[in-house]
Amino acid sequence: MALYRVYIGNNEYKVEISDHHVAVNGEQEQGHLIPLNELGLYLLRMGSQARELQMHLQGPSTYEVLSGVRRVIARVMKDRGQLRGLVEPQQVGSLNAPMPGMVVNVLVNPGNLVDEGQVVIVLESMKMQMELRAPVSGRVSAIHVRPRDQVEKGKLLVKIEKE
Amino acid sequence: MKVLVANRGEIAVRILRACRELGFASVAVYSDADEEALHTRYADEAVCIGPAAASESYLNMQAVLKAAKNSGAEAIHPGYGFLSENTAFAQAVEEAGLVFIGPRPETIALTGDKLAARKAAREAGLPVLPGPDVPISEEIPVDISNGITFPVLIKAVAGGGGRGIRLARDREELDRMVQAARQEAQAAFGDDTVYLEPLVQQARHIEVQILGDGEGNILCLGERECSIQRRRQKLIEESPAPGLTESARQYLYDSAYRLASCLQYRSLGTVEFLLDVNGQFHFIEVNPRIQVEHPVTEMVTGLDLVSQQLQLAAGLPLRYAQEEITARGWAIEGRVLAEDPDAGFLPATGTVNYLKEPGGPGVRVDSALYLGMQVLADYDSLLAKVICWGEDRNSATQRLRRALDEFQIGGIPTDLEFLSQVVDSQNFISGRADTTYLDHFQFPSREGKEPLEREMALATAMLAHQASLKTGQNGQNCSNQSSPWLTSAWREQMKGNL
Repeated sequence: MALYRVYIGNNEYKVEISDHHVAVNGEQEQGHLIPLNELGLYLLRMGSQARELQMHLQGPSTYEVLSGVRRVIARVMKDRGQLRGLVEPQQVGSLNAPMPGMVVNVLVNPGNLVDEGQVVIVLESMKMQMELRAPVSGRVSAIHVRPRDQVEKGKLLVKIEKE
Repeated sequence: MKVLVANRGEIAVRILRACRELGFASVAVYSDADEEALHTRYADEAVCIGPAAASESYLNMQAVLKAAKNSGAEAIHPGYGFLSENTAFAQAVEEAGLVFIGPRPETIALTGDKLAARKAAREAGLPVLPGPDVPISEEIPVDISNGITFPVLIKAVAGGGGRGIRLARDREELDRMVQAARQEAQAAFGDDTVYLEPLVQQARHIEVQILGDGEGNILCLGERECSIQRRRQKLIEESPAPGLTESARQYLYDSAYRLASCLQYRSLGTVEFLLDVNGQFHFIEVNPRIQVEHPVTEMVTGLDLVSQQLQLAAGLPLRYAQEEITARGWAIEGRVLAEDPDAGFLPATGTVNYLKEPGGPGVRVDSALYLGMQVLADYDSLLAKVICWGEDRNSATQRLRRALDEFQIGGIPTDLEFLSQVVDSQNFISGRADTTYLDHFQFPSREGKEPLEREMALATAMLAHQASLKTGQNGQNCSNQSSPWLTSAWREQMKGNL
């Protein structure tokens, strides 16, 4: 028998799989997963019901699952093994780009004191401008971008040290 | 006629399709990033006009004009956005001896200057919001609050597409918001002039589609309701507008008709209004171009707006008289955007790894999507439009709900689920939602671990289990993975044992 933990959003599901049965959070299920093609299309049959699912491996232990209008990212961990590919916790006081785009304006200089919530950077992506705010109050210790820079999602923009 | 389409994405494909149906030769233009894009492949010819950044390609007038000249195009269709509302561009096109498929340059100039448009509308007898028809000076006078009632909107004179607009709730916020509006206006339009307009609270956005031949003949093609907006971007549109009395509707059409007549309007345009809680209409602006939401009008009138527009540009007369225009049934459009609902609906990028578009009766999809397409941050986030027709509002809505359910896009987060939540919501169903509805939209609770998510978790675990069996990590003997026998055995095992 194998035990998997699946994480979707904030929810955790414990799935037991053996040769003879499957169970979700301790409840037995009649589940058959039938691949319909080689492109990620599956049919999950549960008794007389069937659900069409599109599943793709997206990263280590991470699947994208589509059904109807629903699209989720499911992270799966075997037993108590390590969950790889999880987002690293953000460093306190660092402002990262929440989306790819272009830096329109940098409103602070290194050494400036900023308040939590103060607008620090203006970023533009897909014709939308967005004001990025300081995650904590403190002193700006480093600025990693300049106006007109193109940045990737997740790029460290500004570092703020708590005082 | 040979038509160059100076746009990309779904609208470029939409226009190219009309060209093909009319037997017009077509030329697409594309940036380096769009070399493999659908519009590039769909046109008879395609010309590269520069690097990915729109400012150096789709907004580059000289590059577009050069592409037209070199390809021998006789007319340019600007689509929406990019150069579509650029007076200098329309002028340059006509000076180059080409047909600009849109209003005359002076009409674009007038409608592009929001204060001039207000003046023209007032003169044509339209209901215009009070307020001075002058921009705010560089230094905001301390006594500006004289004659202004808060909350007030600060709007870019050169505005459009919901950009360069800020709301100030009181005098204290005014300076900061004027500054922010100026900055966005400068970035978006190269002009930071702004003016003030009273905020109409709980307003619905209703607009009228017009089509003119430039010689005074105007067709009014009904209204659209576009109140479902987020960040001033329309998300769901429909035609007709729910709950309007016949007299209100007639007043709306007459107003739009009067303004279009005064302007001797040429080509397609939209006259936009706000409808307040007292049933009063207020003119806001004219959009001198084809609009994203034009298909809902096409579905209820049965007219192909782009085709009409192209035929007028080719010198043919208007094909219809006003009495021949009738609307039948109801149409609703949902905009499918590349946005991450788990990250505050920020624009998202990625590669489309799965695509299934909806079908069946009464469903139309306008998109430039294809499997393998890369969604880039360089352009706006519209992926597709789903437009559904029904005999009445309820059947059109139910059909949209069904079509959204069938629409699947893998590889990028989208607003598909959000659209279906909005369509399901009581306020939307009642037809009374105003433009602020989505600002305080109540997301339906998923009540913890609902059945679908549970099944998704189960399927994921089963797939991961299979993957681990296949790679032999579980100590199973699966070394010869390429053997067809093992593949079918694996299939059997999936069916039988799990």
